[in-house]
Amino acid sequence: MIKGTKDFWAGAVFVAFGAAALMMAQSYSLGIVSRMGPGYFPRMLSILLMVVGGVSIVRSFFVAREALPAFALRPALVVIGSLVACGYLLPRAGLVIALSVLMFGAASASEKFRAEWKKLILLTAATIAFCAIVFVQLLGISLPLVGSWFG
Amino acid sequence: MSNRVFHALRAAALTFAVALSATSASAQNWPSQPIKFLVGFPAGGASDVMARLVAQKLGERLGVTVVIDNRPGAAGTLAASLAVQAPADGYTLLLGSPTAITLAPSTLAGKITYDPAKDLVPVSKVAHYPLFLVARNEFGIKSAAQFVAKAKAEPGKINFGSFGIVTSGGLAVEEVKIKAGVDVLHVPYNGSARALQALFGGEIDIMFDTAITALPNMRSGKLVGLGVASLKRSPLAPDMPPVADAIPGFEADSWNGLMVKAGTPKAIVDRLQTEVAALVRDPEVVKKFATLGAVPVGNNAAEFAAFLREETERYTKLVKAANIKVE
Amino acid sequence: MDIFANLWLGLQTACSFANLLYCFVGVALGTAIGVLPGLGPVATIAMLLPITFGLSPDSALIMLAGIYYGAQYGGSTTAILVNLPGEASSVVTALDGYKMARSGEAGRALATAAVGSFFAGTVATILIAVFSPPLTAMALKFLAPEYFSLMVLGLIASIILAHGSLIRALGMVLIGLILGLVGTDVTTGIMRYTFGIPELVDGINFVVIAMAMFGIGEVISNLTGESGRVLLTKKVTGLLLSRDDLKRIVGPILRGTALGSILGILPGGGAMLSSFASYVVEKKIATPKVPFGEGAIEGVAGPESANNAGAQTSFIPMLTLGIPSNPVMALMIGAMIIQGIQPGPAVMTEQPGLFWGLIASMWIGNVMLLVLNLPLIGIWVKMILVPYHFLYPVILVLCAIGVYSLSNTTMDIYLMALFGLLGYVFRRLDCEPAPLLLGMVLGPMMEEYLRRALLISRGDPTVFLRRPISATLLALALAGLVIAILPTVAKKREAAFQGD
Repeated sequence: MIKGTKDFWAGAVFVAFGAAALMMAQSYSLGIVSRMGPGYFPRMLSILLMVVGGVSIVRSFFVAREALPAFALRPALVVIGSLVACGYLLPRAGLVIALSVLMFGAASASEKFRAEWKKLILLTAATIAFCAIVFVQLLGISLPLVGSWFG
Repeated sequence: MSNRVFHALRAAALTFAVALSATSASAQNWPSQPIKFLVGFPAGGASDVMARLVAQKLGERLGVTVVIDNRPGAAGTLAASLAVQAPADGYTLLLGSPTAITLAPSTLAGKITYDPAKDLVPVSKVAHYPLFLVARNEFGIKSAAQFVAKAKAEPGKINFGSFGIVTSGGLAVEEVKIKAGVDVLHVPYNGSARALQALFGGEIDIMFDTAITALPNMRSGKLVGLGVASLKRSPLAPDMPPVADAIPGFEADSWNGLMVKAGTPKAIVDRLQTEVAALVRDPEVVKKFATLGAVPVGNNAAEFAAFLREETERYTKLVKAANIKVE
Repeated sequence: MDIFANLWLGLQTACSFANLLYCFVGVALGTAIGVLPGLGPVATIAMLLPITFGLSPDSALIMLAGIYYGAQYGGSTTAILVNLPGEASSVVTALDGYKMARSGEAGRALATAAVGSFFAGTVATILIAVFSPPLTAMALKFLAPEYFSLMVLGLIASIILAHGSLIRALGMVLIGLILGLVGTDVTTGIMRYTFGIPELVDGINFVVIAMAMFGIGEVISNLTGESGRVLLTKKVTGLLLSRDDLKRIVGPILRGTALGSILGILPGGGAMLSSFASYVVEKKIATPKVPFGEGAIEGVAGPESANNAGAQTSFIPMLTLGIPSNPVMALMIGAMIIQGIQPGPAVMTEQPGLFWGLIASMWIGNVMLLVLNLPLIGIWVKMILVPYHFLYPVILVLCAIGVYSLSNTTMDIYLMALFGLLGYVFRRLDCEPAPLLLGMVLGPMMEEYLRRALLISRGDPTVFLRRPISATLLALALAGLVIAILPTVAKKREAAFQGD
């Protein structure tokens, strides 16, 4: 039976991360002490991380349990999804559309969204104008206002 | 600052106008819209400063804005792959450099998505950067010949630094080993600044460095200049004899050149070449290049192409001989 | 001594009308961009470099320097108010500063940061003026073995830094170290953990992970409903420092200034460590009213002083040798070249007006920053009163544009999204992000210096013990480790942690 404690799951994440890093490090050569290869450090760190993760898992069975708090999956996915969409749209649809998608997408995760979406339109317009003037025009960051889909 | 804002606004307005009209730009009316100049280095470095100078002068000559687009990453190969993805219409230029063009085929084989010889067309070599061989004062040698003698007398003892393992400076060390037949310890650093610091601190004894940092330290007596790594003396430091005097045939330098995507109409390539050749003779450009440690070139496309072929071949042999593997 | 003649010359240069103006423009601009998350001094200076083409050399450098230390100030503001550290140095400020802001003490936290930074800036400016050459000589004594030992000490310190479970902190450090390895290996040129993505060849930018772990993770956490609808958990209290506050922050400021000044001189990444180092020192020395990590004013004062002192003294190797100690200094060198000045040891003798003018302007700039920032505190504090459902979409937009500007690639936005999710998961598991970030900073350097030290010593590991500075640092690290793992101490730590 899996005990749902923070120690257990943190340990599990560490072991998984360490194992993945160790697997990928197999192709880097180890070298010798005076000419340590590029594989030495990654392997050492991955193994250490797995050991630390293992200790954390073992500990989870003995030490007083800190119950795992619930993961709020929906807001997390909405925020992350909006960011990814914004990254995808920036060069293609341009800054105006990409930032609108990010603002509204992210804002929809809030419970206040339904009541306040009209104010949000104003805020979005102001934010986009600010970004276009400060970042694109004044600082000269190479970002298209209108992306390649429309040009 | 207002001037810059104006330019930015004008560039934006132009882009917008062109986007609306959506006419296919042909070679006849080129250039009719702003030109993008891809630079594979972060803003502020020697290559970027040079590119900005070239962009400004080129823009004046062509009557359109030439916008610098810094796409740093992966030693310039990221910018090169972007240049290859752009349409071959002469509106996207690339600042070529050794790591992305002549070194990449041998050191990054299979890691890059483009073939510099097939996917890009050379326009003109804009500048070359001579490398200088410098040693720390306490090392006690005064010439390249003394270095070779010392390296032969004490094999494996000398620490030879470089500003990166797969850069023109790092390969120069490997070339020294082969051409002079000496055994030195190659200690690579991440950039010239770190290597110089180590040279001052005595961690390394000797290194190749670009003029920009080597010359002031040589002149103020903080480092000993042993020679220039080109076959002839450099106008930047006429008092420095070529390292080739001590190591016959030894040559190592860095360069920047203008390139466009293969398939760009010849008329456009020719026009760009003419303008580059003319702008590098501009006295202001010559003066600014000198402070950057660069020597203006502005050769024609055929000469540049031949140079690239030779360099690529030379590096391929060198990388094989030195057994450098980038897996 | 001619130091006074020199400083007088410098003051004359710095106090010309044009230079005062550009100094002000620089610090004001720096503060503004520092406050915008993600947009740091490197990107801004790079983008503004062309503007300086038309200025005189001293005005250009004075303005760029102003942007640099102005951004340090501004960066702390965002770290304190919305938990978004845009720089390695403000990561530590976020730890206690943000907690203070949430309990209505943002004003005190910001005032502490301003006062500490001002004091540190003043001391560091004097150090630069008086001791530049001997300090440079000292910095050059730091070679690969010393740097490696310093990194080991930093690593041990990072574990003390954590206030939760020791084992989870250790795991986070290791993950950070591994993330730091992503990219091209300096010693062999081999690419590691790049997944064939060209944007990863130069490694993952620290700012991306810092913004993701702290900023995005925080936004998601706040949306889960547990933390309520407004950032504030208590009502806003005193904007200014009380007599008791001042008494509490004197020690941390003095110690932070000393640490930052020394570490800032080291060109191989010392400045980045200074704020972490200061926090660890305070955690061991200071006796705060509120525990560290819960909003201790000492945890803001020390690191803020350290990072500002470090920022100022990092000019030393650039000015005396032409060696840039960080990307901003590399840009300063670029600016000098554009102006036709050859950076290097000759600048001090050939351009005394420029050299001393720049130094004098740093102090003037610090005064300006204080005058500019103290009144602004009132405005910043109001910012967290904005309803959170309006604040966070704007924060996300600024983060996205900010990380994009780092190297003009959308890959950094994707990375920020990915690590934001990971940051939220870690937060739920009570794994703190600070040790991970420190590990990420230390990882690549530690490996590079270790391998180089062994390469140069021809494989002799005793080199770390034979060199006195290196041996001292390792001894300190060992002492720190003993303190960290002593069972009694560990128990006390946990008790203190579980008590909240």
